Amino acid sequence: MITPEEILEMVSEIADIRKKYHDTRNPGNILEKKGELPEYYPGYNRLVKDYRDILVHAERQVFPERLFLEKSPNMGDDEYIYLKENFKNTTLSVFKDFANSVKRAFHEGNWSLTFEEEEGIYERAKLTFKEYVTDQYDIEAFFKSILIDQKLKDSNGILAVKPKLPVIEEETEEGVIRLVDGSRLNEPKVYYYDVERVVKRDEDIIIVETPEKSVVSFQGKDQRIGLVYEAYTKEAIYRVEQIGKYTDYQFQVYTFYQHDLGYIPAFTLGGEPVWLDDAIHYTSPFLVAVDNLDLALVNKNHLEVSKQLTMYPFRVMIGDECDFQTQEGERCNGNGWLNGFNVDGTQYRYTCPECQGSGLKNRPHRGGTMLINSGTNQLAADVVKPSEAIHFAQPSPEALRYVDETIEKDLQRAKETLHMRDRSLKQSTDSNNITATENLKDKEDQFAFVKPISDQVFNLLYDCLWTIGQMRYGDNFKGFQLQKAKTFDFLTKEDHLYNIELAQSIGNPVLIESAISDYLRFTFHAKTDQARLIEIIKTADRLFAMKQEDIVRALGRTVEPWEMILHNSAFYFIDQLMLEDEKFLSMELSEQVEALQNLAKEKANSLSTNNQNSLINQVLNPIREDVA
Amino acid sequence: MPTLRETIQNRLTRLDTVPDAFNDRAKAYQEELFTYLLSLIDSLERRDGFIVINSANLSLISDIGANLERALQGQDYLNAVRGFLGEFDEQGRIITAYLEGEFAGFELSDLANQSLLVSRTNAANALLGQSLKTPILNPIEQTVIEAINSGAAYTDLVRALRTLSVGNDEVLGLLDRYAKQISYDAFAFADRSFTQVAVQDLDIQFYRYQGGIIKDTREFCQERNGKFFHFEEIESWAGLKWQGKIKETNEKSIFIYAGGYNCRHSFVPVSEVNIPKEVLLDAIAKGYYNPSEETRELLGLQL
Repeated sequence: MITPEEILEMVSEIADIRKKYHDTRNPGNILEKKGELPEYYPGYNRLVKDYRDILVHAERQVFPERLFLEKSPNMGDDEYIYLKENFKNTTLSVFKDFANSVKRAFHEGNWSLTFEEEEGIYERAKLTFKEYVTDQYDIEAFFKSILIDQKLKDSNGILAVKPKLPVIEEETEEGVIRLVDGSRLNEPKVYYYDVERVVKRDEDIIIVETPEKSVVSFQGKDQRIGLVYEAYTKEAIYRVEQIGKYTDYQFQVYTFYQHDLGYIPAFTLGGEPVWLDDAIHYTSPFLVAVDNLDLALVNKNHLEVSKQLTMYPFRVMIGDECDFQTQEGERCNGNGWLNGFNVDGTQYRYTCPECQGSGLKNRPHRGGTMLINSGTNQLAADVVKPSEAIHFAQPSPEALRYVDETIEKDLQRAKETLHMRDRSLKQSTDSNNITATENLKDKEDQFAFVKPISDQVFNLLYDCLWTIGQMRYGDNFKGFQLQKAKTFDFLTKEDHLYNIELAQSIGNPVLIESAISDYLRFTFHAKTDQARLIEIIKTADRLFAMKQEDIVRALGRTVEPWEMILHNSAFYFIDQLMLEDEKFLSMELSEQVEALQNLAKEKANSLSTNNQNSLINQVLNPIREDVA
Repeated sequence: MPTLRETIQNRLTRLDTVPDAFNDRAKAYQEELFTYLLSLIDSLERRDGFIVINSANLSLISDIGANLERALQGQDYLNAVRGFLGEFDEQGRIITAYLEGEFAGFELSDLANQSLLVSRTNAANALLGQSLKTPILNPIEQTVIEAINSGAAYTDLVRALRTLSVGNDEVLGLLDRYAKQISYDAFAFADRSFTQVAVQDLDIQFYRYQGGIIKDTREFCQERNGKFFHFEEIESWAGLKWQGKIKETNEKSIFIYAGGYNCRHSFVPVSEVNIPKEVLLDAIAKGYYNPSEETRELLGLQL
């Protein structure tokens, strides 16, 4: 068990490392030295760098100064400022798409969270555990909407569970004191600290530098610039605050909350484990794409600058020195300015009104006419031919086009490393068979890539919920059931229907059945007997394995309209039947088939009726107006 | 201002002339349809004058069917149908004029107008869209399919389609035949339904069976043409059998169906004061008619 005194010693060591980076102009903050932060533990700077490298592509308007300076060391100040002010994060969409594809693993039907019955179980509790975590804090939404993004950016950040203690204030002889109100339950919450704030991490303790500041003395004044740390151990949560003079780096420690859980109530977000200097840390799965994205981002922004500077034609003209002269005899002499005199005799300088500061005679003439200097010998040829006197210079766009193509390739490579499917490419392939096979392989690769991420998120959710329950209800806590996703789907409904259509056009019954099976699993999730649904469809739909063109050809002869409707809309009808009758799936197969076919026939009649009614109205309406 | 007699005559004549006019337009449209059909089958692949049996030709069949269906929704045909249906309203006005003249205090009810609307809708349904599939589109499609499947001579196909579409000395074209089947009965049913609904509050006792005699007039109608009958006697005819009788004819529906398919007769309600005395007495004797004392006195039926 780690004692408070040991914690104080650890914090002092951390502060000793930190003080070398103290920012004298902003006390309380630190300054990087040659791009390095205090190395609180081996590998700290590398982990922070990884995090910041990802942030460039994951958050808007994070300007990657290092990237541009490293890649273009000779870039001028003007160009750098222009670049910074016009910076566009063109790779953000890759991260968003990646995060969204991971979030599809959390489709509603893939996992479940159920809570034990709690009525009357917890004394003093105004809210049940379910109400607390869903209504009060909506932890599910936090995990699905916020946490997954953070985890993909910051694998070494932590989630800490810490209770907000209910306090009451009491007047005593010594003044007002704050006591914990034993009549109310505490309110554990989840706090996120990014990797930069995690200053110590091992199997027994995690210490974070919080954003809070304590009051310390600095330059003769009390200022809220002191450091505040939190230490999480297996027994308690400690608070360590800087006291006294800021420059002395003295601390005091006290126990914030004695939890006695037997484990640290702070959990690393996690990613792909990496061994760094005798310790395990984590890298984000997104990191593999960063190098290609860096190239794409830098080149794209440079490309935009280049376009502005070079893609518009320059007017190149012969220029002679401006020889403007004022009445007072002041001459421009190609300087672009003239001397003027104030009333008191002092001199001032002003821009030449003729050349407007260019120092060259103004061409062309206002009316647009090019004026060529003629020599004194009017019989001699012009020194400069008119056709050579002016031309419009414009660089070939080929170079910029090449850069543009390179940027696209870098983006594609980045996506491929993330196993992100780009349907637009696939649709341009020649053979439908290749597309179907490639789709299958994509699916497998994506599953293998996303499954570990999914497992880690569910583990985090479980740990946080369990810790909250323990902190709030103690031994009375009844727990919950978290069913993790075992299989999940990256395709949208439209993707599935597209695959079915594709399989039907090929006419391969095995492919058709596989595509339908995937769609059914997507729509009805794990709760439904997909095999049964496929059996119903295959039995009801006589045209199951027929090619679409054959069906169209046979329509009206050997294929009835309702059969075609059933063939194209079987899934929608199944949806409808299940909604209308919860016992549909437990009916006899013959009854299910009959229900499905009847629905298709109703639809066919209705469509036919609607068309007919429309025609009748078209003919009758003008007559009704006359009669009226 | 036409007399009641002229009004009635006009009404009855129109039972022939209105459908005739529509049928003429439908018949004329057949030529247009046939020309269009020729342009559709022109895309069939042929070799040495014979239709090639291949999937490309087979796949054209549904296109031909769909295009023909669209052609039967062409503006010319729709206008013909529209014109025909417009005559239903005119027929309603003529019947109303007669009833106003024949029965003092007669007022046309909304229900009667509604019945006319229903009749028009039914007629439109029968002459448009899906209803034309079986009698017109299917036979044409079937002919084309058989020609493709058998690799028939193209000229044979054209000949067969001409017969179907336009007809010849022996057979009517499909549209012509169908239009005739529908139009006479649709118009006559509308006429009779409107009449029955219009007079339902008038306690009509006697009708005159009128319509004239044509070449094909059935015996049932010939025997009754121009004569007056009590409504109960008319109702009793529902139990009789005759050629052309519509199966659903009963005591009530006989006033709509009259002599049956293609019957051009109508039951014209007549005020008791205009019924010949011998008819009244005959009806009393048969037990159909039992006027009150007052009515007897009014009609001069003192026994």
